[in-house]
Amino acid sequence: MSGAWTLARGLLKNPLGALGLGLTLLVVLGGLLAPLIAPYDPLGQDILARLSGPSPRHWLGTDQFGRDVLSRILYGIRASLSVAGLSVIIALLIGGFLGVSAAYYGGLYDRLVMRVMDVFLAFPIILLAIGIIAMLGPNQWNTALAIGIVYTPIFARLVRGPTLVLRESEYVQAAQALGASTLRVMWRHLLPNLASVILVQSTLSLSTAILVEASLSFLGLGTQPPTPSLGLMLSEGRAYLTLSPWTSVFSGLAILVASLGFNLLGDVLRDALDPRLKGR
Amino acid sequence: MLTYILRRFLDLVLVLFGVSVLVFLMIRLIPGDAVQIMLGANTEITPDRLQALREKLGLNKPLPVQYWDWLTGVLRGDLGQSVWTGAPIRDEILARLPLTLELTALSLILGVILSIPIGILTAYWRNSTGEYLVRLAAIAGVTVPSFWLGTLFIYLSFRLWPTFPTIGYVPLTQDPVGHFSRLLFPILALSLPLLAGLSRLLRSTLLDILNQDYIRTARAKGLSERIVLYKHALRNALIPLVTVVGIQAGYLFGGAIVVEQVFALPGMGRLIVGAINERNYPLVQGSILLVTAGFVFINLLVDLAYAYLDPRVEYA
Amino acid sequence: MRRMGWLFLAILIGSLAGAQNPIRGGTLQIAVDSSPAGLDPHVATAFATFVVIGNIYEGLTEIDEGLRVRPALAESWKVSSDGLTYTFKLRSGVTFHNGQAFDAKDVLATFNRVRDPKTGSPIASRFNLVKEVRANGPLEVVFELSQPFSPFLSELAGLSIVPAEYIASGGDLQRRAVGTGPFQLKEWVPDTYILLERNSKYYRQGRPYLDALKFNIVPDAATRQIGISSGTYHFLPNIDPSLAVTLKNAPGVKLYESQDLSYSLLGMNVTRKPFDNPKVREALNYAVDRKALVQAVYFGNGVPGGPLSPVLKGWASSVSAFPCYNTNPQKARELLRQAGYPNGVDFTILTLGSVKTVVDAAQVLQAQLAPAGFRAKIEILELGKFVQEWRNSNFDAFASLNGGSVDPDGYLFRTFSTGGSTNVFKYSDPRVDQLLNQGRTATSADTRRKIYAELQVKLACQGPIAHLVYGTLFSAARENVQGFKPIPTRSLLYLRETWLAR
Repeated sequence: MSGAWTLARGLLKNPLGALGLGLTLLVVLGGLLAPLIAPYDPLGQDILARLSGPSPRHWLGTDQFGRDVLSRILYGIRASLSVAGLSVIIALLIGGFLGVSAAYYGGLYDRLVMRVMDVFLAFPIILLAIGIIAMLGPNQWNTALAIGIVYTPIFARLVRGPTLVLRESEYVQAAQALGASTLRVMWRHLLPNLASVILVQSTLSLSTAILVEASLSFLGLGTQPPTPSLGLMLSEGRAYLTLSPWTSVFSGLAILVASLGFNLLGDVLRDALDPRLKGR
Repeated sequence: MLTYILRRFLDLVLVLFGVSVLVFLMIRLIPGDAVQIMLGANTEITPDRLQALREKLGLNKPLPVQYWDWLTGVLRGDLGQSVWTGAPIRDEILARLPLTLELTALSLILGVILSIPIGILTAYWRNSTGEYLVRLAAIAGVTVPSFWLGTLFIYLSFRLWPTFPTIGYVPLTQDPVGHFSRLLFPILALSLPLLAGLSRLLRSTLLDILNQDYIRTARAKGLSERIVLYKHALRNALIPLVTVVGIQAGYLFGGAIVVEQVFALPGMGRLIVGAINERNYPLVQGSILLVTAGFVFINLLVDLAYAYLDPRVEYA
Repeated sequence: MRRMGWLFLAILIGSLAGAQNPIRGGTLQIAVDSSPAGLDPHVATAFATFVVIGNIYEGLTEIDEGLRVRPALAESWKVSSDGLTYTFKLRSGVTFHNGQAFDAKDVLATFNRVRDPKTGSPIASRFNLVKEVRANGPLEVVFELSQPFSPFLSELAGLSIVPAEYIASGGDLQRRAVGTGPFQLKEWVPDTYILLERNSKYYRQGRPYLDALKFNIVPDAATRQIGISSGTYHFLPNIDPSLAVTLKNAPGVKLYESQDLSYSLLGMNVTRKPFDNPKVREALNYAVDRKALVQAVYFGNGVPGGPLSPVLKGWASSVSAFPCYNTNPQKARELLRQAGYPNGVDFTILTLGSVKTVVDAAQVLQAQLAPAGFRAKIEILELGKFVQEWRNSNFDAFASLNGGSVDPDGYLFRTFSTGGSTNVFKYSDPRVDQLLNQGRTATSADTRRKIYAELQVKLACQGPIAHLVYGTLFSAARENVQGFKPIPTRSLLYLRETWLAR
């Protein structure tokens, strides 16, 4: 655990890392606390107040139905992060399992799993996501599932390498010689080593998942109205740019901040954990 | 080297086979009676029509037979006919593919070109405020959805320079200037997100190289820093970029789908999205297979090129 | 000196007249959001298709901007006193775009093709009352009806005449077009544009003024909006009210307005709970606040309406005749309770995702219905899927945009008669059927008016459709577009009168 503290301190020393951490915390807190701090019901319509700019009553203005933009953005962050978070968890669990087991057991199983991963990786991301959502129907949770499936091969490939190396390493050989069970070996030796790459990739994937969700919402395949989602707000707001750009501006900003936060975090983490760049 | 190439080629074939199965199943697993949907949006549905279309597409036959028919057709170069226009799918795709290819290729090239100075600067100014700012800007480019960038460009261009044509498509042969001016913003919107990844890779490779023996030797010989950088470091640093090209091409296609909608460009992206909505089975299968095959092929070329260029890679 | 004065006056008048004179030439750049899948006028159902083929094909009659029937390919007609025989004198000297001459045999061939079940034409049932068609020489056609059918002349406007020899030889009408209209198909690049060029042999002298119409396919609304503001496009036909609002103050852009025959609606499946109970349907009408919908969805540009569009003056009853149009959520709750739903009802609204007005309306409706006990879930479907569910009556309720018709019979009959071609609600009421049949066969306008008045009251509050709003129909054009007149049917007929000023 002390490793985590040194890591955090190292992050904060780097101004980009501090920024990334700060933005991420801001966004995560916003999303978590949305039900508590949102001033209005995100679905509450007030037609007379529609398309207005920032004002004392509505800090970030209102959208085309008079719904409070601030509340919708808070709930939208909550929705976007949930989708992104869920998709990364899915990819991590399934991909992680596949990658580790493939490396550990090797042989035909390994070749087969990796081929299947290659097939999925061959597809351009959005195309695969569109296909999966077309099969399952467009809504938040299917979007998370689709993105999760799309990211699975990335995690599988990611963990396979280190696992292969570790399998041949002395610790593991010794532990196995001493009769330790496979599971125990993986838990005690593998996971700590994989933790860093998984952490880096997860933050980066979170960053891109938010964007993929936004693009899918633009195509009408992500979150469905009237549920607030940053991507949907951004896409719908474009129609009213000349009248009242606030919905687009603020939701775009929210996407930017969320994605940027995670990306910076991942970027700095990657540098911090990359042994080659240490000590320079 | 030859065995390496052959093995990779075999991999490619296997992957394509898997892709074809996946594509075939995927479109058929989309709920709803496909034939009804194919007809329904545009004409009246009669039982005769439904039956005729079903037979024409061979949807009565068992799945494996349908797959085999389709696959053998593809290998012969016949991708089938579009349900609607009746035109051969190969022609429909060939009419749209060049534009998407052009978009993707030009965006890639622009991305690489723009990321070189960024990579150099961030490597050179390591750990300074300047580096942080530039990196921040590059990363910001990747955190904005491309449809937003696209609309923003169109809007700003309209405000600042109203006569500049930004929307629609004009063939190259008809009007080269008009053709490229309309591609400027789409390419920009697509290439900006690339900068973050490419420049970061360049930066770390450069840093790697700059610390190596032969660089130290060059410095010791008294060569100016600039020559060290350009002549020795940069050339070698560009090689790993090649690997990223393959992966980025995949991302670019996804971006192209969205950008084509915003800028009203008739490319593969719009073709595929429309075909999925219409449940135009033959068109979806044919076009997705083609696009994916294209990327798999590109990745193969990239791997081979990298293996050729980098003397350190072993063909284990 | 006096002579100079007259000369000066003459020049002045001449130049003023010249300012109004149409200029020939130019290509009108039109932007639309989707392309037609095919151009066959006898099987088309999508708005996107009609917008294009309306310039290529013509019928015996046409509908003008006041919804009056005017001669088109038929020069004149006579109706027998019993209303059963219509004799049309056809225009002479008309040629199709492929050079073949137009005469009576083409009318017969067209009619037979539409009525042929193998064609599967959606307009076939509109001519059910035609017993026989025959030609009396090359320029005269006679239609014999089995019963008087007042809407006949207006329905004929929708019968696009195609050449007999062309279809007899198996000519393709989906990818090719051969009509008599002011423009002919020159080029169709899928997903990109459809180019129609001037028919130089068009029978209306001097028309059209434009050299060509280019329908650019631009799926994104924001792009279309900027496109017309920047002058890339000249004309955006039949746009959403939200798009109209953003263009209202755009420099260089003007808006054409007309009332719409089309309307937004909530349709209910009367074979499914809870909508099998007419009290529930009435309750829903009480729960809806149509005036608020006009503000919220149409930005104030529209009116609440019943089964008939307010543009059909003389036919459409005022909404004050429908008690359930007085918004009253408490009454709605009370009716639900009486119907046996004291705790309200839950249901799903299938929403047509391809029309922004409908998506917006569904969201506003959802919010309006909730306090009255109608808890709705919105499910947005793209066009193909929506049509499938709609056809198979696989819905609790749906939100959509429907087209009305010029004569009240057209729309009412196919929607509300038992087994009507668009009666997907499975609605069936003997009194309604009786009234509908009387309405279409009555010959006195007064009798018909009374019949349709009764029908509207019956259908408005307890029918399967909650008619919502008839929006203002907007089209946007650059300032230099002259001569166009919008028509409530969404037809772009007057593009033949349109010209581009410098």
